[in-house]
Amino acid sequence: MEILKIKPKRDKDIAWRTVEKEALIVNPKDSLIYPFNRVATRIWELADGGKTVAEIIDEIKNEFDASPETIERDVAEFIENLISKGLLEKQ
Amino acid sequence: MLIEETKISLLRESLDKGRSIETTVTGDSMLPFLKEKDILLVEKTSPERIGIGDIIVYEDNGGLITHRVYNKFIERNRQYFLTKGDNSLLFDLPFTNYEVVGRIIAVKRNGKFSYLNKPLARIWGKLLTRLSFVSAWVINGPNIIAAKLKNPKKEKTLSLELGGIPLSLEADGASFISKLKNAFGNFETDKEPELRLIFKKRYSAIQKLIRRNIFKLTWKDEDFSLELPYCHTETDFEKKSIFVTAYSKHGWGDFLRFIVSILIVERGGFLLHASGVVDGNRAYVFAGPSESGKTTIARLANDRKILSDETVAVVRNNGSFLASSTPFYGEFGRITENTGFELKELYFLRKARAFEKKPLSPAEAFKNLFPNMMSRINDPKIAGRALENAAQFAEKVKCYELRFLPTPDIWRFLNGDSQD
Repeated sequence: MEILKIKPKRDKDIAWRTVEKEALIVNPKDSLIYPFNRVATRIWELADGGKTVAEIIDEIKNEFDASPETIERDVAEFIENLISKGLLEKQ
Repeated sequence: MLIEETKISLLRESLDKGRSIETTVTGDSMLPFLKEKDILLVEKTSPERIGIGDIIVYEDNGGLITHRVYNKFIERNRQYFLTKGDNSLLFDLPFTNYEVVGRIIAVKRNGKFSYLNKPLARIWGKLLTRLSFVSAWVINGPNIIAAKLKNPKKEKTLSLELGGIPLSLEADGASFISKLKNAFGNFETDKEPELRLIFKKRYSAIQKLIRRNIFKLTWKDEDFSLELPYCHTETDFEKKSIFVTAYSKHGWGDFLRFIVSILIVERGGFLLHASGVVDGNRAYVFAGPSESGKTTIARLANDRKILSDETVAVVRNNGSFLASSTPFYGEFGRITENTGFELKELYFLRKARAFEKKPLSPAEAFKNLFPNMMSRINDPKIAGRALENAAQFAEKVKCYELRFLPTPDIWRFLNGDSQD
């Protein structure tokens, strides 16, 4: 899959802060607020432009307890979603 | 003042004798319904006959004010009225039927009388009471001037403490400051100002037209410039000054709230959509969107001090947080005192059929808190700082989800050692 080779990077204008491993993401461009759970927050933290989606999926598999297929599908979908919303940039 | 008092007592005397009185509109707080120099026909009426949407004349601090009725309620066997100018964002301080002089029954413009008991005028009045904020915006922002007959003091500066920040407001004309004093005078302070807000009046119909929908915040290092429909603002924090070129007479309540919302975030605090009540020298803050019960909680406070029923300032104080009153209020009416108390607990309101208080984890509190904060999150710098302040608050202050019934029992429920 093409998505697996992408190195997603957080948009520099996005404001975010984590409390107890759960983040609030604020997009100043449309003033929308996204509350993330722990898994989403971890994906967001890993999306630093240095790791591919495949590497992020591997990291999530190591850290969270779910079937590999579920993690692969959900992480890829989530990252695509964040790219479409302008929160992540493709690298 | 003596002349005004004599005038009012003569007016009351005439009304008592069953006569109608003519008076002239001064000021523009009732635009577009009433215009300057319109002649109003005033009639004596009983409190029961005054309805929501009616325009009444009442005594305020030795002067007369003509504003529209938005609500009436009885408290401790006294009839209270809540009024506001059609062109104002802020409500007036509630007053009793003893202050009411009469009701406007007709308006004379260009030599012709229009009677306000006509269906169209009544519908307009009722509609405005429901869409007050919308109407204030449509008519070019709020005006904080009361349609008054009294003479303002000729002062060109006003020192206010807003959100714990002492500010000196300075203008090139006394009338501008007098209008601000009318709305924010309760928040005057003797404290040394941290910042000067220097207003220059450049009223211009063309600027108002050009700037109609403008909103632009631009940062230059730690300073910013701000373009709004009614003003251009430049900060120079090194000189502790904010320069404001005012293009309109209106919008200043909103402007001050906006400026305070930025300044307070820089100081580690924030403005919160919340009501605040002081019980036993500690502040309880109740956050939530419109209709969540903020004003209801303020009304149930009995003798407890109210910080606001709409906007509470959360101020960083060494390691803890204070909840401070603000002059930005909702239906409850004007807040009479500038004061702040240690913030004991924060509640996120949910209306329910029973009382329930659910403690929130810092992460839950953080996620509930941020959307209730008044921050311009369309600016990355402010959004980032506001998020940081919210996170630190959520980690420090006990927060709860509060399901409540709108009864005075709420204070027994919240605080076992309450004096109720």
